[in-house]
Amino acid sequence: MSAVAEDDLLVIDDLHVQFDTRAGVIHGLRGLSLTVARGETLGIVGESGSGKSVMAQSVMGLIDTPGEIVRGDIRFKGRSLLGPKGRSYGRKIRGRELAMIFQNPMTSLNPLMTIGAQIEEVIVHHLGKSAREARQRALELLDLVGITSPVSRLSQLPHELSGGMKQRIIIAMAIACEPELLIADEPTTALDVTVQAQILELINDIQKAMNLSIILITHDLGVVAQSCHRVMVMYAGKEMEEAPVGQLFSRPAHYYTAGLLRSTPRLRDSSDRLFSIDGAPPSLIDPPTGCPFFDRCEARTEECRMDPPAVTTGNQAKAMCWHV
Amino acid sequence: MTFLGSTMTNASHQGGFAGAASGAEARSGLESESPAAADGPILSVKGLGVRYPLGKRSFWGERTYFEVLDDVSFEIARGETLGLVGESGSGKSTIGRTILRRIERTAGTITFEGRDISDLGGEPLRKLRRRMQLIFQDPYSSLNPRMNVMSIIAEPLVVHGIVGSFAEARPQVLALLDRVGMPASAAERYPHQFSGGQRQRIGIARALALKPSFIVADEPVSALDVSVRAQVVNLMQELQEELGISFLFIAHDLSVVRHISQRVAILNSGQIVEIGARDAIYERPLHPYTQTLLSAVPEPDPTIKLARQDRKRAGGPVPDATGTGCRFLGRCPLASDVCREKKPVLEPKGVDHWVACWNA
Amino acid sequence: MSLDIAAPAARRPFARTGRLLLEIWHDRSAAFGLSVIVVILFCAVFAPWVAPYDPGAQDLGARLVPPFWLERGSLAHILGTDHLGRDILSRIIHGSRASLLVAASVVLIAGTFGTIMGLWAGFRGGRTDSVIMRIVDIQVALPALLLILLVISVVGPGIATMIVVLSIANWMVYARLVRSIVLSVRQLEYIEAAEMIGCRPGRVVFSHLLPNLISPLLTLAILEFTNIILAEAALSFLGLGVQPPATSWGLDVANGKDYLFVAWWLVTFPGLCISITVIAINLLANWVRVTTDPQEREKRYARHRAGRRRQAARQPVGGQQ
Repeated sequence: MSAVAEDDLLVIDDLHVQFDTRAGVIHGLRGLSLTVARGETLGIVGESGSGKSVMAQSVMGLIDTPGEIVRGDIRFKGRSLLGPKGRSYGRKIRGRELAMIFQNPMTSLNPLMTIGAQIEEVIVHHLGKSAREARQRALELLDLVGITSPVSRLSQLPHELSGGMKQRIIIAMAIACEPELLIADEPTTALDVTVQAQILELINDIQKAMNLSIILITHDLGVVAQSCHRVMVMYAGKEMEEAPVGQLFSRPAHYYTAGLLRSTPRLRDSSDRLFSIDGAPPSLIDPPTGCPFFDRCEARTEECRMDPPAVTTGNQAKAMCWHV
Repeated sequence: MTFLGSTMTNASHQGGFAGAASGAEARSGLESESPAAADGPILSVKGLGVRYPLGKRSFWGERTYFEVLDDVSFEIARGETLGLVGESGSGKSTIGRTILRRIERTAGTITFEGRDISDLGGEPLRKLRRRMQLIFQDPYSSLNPRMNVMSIIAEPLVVHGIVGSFAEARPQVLALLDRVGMPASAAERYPHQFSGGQRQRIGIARALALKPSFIVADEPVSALDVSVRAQVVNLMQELQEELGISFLFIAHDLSVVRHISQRVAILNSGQIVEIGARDAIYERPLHPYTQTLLSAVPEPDPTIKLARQDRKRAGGPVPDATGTGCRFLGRCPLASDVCREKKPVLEPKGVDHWVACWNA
Repeated sequence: MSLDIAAPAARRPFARTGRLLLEIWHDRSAAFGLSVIVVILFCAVFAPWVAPYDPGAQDLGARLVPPFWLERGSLAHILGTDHLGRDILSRIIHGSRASLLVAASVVLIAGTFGTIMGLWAGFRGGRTDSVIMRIVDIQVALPALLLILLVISVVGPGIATMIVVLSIANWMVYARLVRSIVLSVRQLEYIEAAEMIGCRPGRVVFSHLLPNLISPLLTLAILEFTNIILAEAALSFLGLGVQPPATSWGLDVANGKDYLFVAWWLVTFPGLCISITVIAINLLANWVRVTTDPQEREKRYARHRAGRRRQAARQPVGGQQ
């Protein structure tokens, strides 16, 4: 690999993750590589089993038995997060320079602690601030994430808040230490559409205000279109395509991306039939060699049984396909 | 697209208990298929209300209630799909479960195939299951993990005595599997061996086994992946065209509903705020809540940006669920004095288009 | 995630049992527990053939003979004799019969009754539920020993009485467990689905609800089994259970207590039997609990595989570590 460029905050290089289960070895990730530059929002789109959450867990050091990182490297600011040295480096930066938001706001907060105590705990623990400073900072954070009357919110318990409000609190906790990279795993999936729109807007605003790098993991192409600079499409543990957001939606290069786009329902489309991709994703226990989309692809040929090349489709854009 | 105009009688919105008196009369006709009602709507819900007591009755106060559904009325024509859209807590699942008589209503009547089923219980209710069925949201928890697909689909046939045993049901199960696009080899396998989309197909086959005339589909595709979601939506449409089944299609946002429904109802805090023909709702949404819902769906197109959300609305006053005024008051940009004092009722605003808003 | 797993062959029960035995074998403590239980069961069933002497046969000439490895001990009485010259080993072997019979019967009777009450309370809910659970509360609050003393003073001691009394005192824990599981399982969508397709309540309970109860009930029953063995020992120790000349482990401990400082083996060996049985059953119960929980089972499997990989990695180097 070439030397790490100055502005690449996170580099994932040929990552392989496996889960050894009684049913067989599940290949969660099969050679994933990606980079996240400073100040950019990278969208990761994929269906269940595509490996997008496995990627996030690998970066956050959450892969536990039966899972195992069998090959590849993850580098944050040029330093590896794997191996004994990497693990201690990881413990130092996670929660500070590297933060994560989980999908379900209902279970990510401690139901027995007040909102204030939970936010202040993060600040005291990671930044070593005094209790009074922590409270001051907590109030600033609540104001930043758009929560009205923050003083009274601090003494409330999580169950007194709505789902959207909880997700705002979780975002406040994640950005409390002014991280450089924020990983958001399906941050709006559990929310109502009107609340989702507000949270997406909040994430966009914070990204701009703090010059944050964000990895936004989602299955919803609408969410990606609204808040990402660059998009990577994953399928069956592999990358299919990556491109700047405008190009991906206007000129998708991979047949899977195109199919996904066409099968997404649109409000402005009044046709009676939705386009659908036949078939289902391959099993991850014994995944086929070659293009994982082979079975469902309309353009498949014999050479698709071999691993497809990464074809450059533009600036910062490539597609893993024989037929681009 | 042909549209069966099932108009709504204005009287049904006025209130409460209009249909209750006809209960005894309807019950006498339960055993028959009531051919007389063959050309009426398959389902008619009038003034439906469901409420839960909040805590115990205080010593000298009135007992307070939380109204999950308040005066909900609509009709579904034969072979029609009504899309019911609402956010979490709007009561959309409660409507489905109340029609299926899983949840007891506290007001109103439910008329199905010309019979009043509001107070049906015991054996007659069990028999009714042959006519109306439910498709679940979660394809993972709605199939018994210990039963193979064969038994899951055959069970309704067996418990209703349509076939003598599970073995006898085999040809019918295989036909059903084929109909929902599953191979015959699936019959001997167990639910955990299938993906979410395949499980949902099995759930649909189970619902179809009794040849029902009406199906409540409670967010049947919201747990599915995008590429699979389209497959299942299309399957349901085919089934409807082929078998003439009527659907109540419950959803939490407006995107899928446009493709599958002929009519759409928008639910907010237990009240229908707008109902009508699909294109009327999508092209000319009149209720501010419908407009909010429509503008909040992120389009898969970076050139169409979401409208800036009104920050004030997020923390605004919570609508008073038991009060006299409009339940959308706290979030409404059009709110005026009349909205505070009087509850709006559904009024016609066009051909098959009804809106409950004083300022629309 | 869709996992294409080779169909678990419900049709081939023997293959399944074989695989299960293999899985036990990989877990050393569970294998130990199972072997001990098998040996004890074998001895209990075939006691007349296994035991070297009649448990009641007295030999006053050979009173208080110590175990064979001590001075004065002899191989004729491996574990020595008691104050009436009866062979301790034979008494232990015969005594296991009473202990195991009481424990098994009580677990079966109390478990069945408790399960039925729990199912009824959980499924019917409302007033039925309140009444049953209040009965449970009251009986839990009542000291079991008091109840037992009361009944035995009226009916008189004996094995049958003990079984009945211990069943009455122990069904509540099953009722509580079953009710709580039923309440959570009822929320599952496939239970609602069963009602929705028109299953009658009986079918819902027995075909759909009950299978969810089997593994937690099994675990509870095994743990209760050890409790009952201890309870039987305690009752017999107090003279309220098994009556001489019949014997049980608890009774032997009770009889030996007067000779504790002269002949420690009278108390020690039956006591040891109780402890070993309880430990063995607990080891097995722990394994059953893990096996019936898919997530835990997956973790155990992964640990086992990881251990093997480490071993395999070490071997070529020649065991440097």
